[in-house]
Amino acid sequence: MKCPECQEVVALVSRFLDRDLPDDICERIRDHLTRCPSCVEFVNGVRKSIELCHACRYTDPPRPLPPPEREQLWQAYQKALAARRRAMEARRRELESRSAGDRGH
Amino acid sequence: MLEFLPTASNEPHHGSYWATGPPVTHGNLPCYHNTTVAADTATETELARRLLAGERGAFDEFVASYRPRLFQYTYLMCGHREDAEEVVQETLLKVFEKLDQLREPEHLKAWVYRIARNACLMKRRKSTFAPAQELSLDELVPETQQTFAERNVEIADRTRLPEEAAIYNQMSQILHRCIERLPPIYRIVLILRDIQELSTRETAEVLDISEDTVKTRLRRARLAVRDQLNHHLLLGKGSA
Repeated sequence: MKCPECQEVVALVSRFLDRDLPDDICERIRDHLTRCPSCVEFVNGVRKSIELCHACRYTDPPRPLPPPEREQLWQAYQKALAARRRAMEARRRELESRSAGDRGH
Repeated sequence: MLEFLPTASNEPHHGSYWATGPPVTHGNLPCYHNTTVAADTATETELARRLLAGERGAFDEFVASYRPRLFQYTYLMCGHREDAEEVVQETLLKVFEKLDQLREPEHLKAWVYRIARNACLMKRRKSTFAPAQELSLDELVPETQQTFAERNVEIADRTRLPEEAAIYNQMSQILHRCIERLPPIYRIVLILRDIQELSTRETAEVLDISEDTVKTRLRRARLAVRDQLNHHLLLGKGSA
């Protein structure tokens, strides 16, 4: 892995796999990969470990949400919604009074 | 237009985890994150709007969608199940308490993860489980400086074996250990990008860093994980 092209693959492998490189650089890397088995293996290795990370998302779920904890969240949500409604109502009244004031002038 | 690239030999690779799978090309690679992000964001934005409007079902949908993801994230960040479950509950509670502060529904995911990140930091400060000393990324790189070809590890491709679930489970556990050993600044980027599948922009938003910094840290984290996975597998092979 001493040649500059191999070093470029090592430097850009992450962005290459994310398709986050300009087309010309992508093309250059792909061209190099047709000639360099070590780099193919390297890129495949990184790709495999990313795939493993993706799959890791679906393992080991948390315990089911206990009803008291759900209730705690629900109460916080209801409180936030009530505060939001009050704020929107206050805003509506403010706009109405402004508009009435404009008409009065 | 996109083609398969030739691999090292014309023979199919059987029996090597890292060398197997389709040859490297964008044609057959899943595009990590970019293609799914737009659809994902639209769904998240809609959920945020429904949640803010107090629509029926939005609360349960949000909890069902975010709780497992946040648990995975906090478990990997805290390293302990009990801590993780506490942090998830604290995070969700904060999310609902601060819901009126969510100004832009399209930023729901980044906003939630930002709260989770802060909850993890708080827990870490208080936790007796926090390590006395963090490792640097360089310390994690295996001592043997082998070539990539020498690092080829003979472990079967899980998709080709009947006992794939067991092997896959084992690989997942090894991966968890590798991720847990990463220094926090790299660990968090890897978890957000490659496990939670946040976009670069969302990750930058959660961590309050630039997108370039996200990319740099992600690259280092991915290479460190790959090196560690190889190292683990080589050790396992040696002791087998």
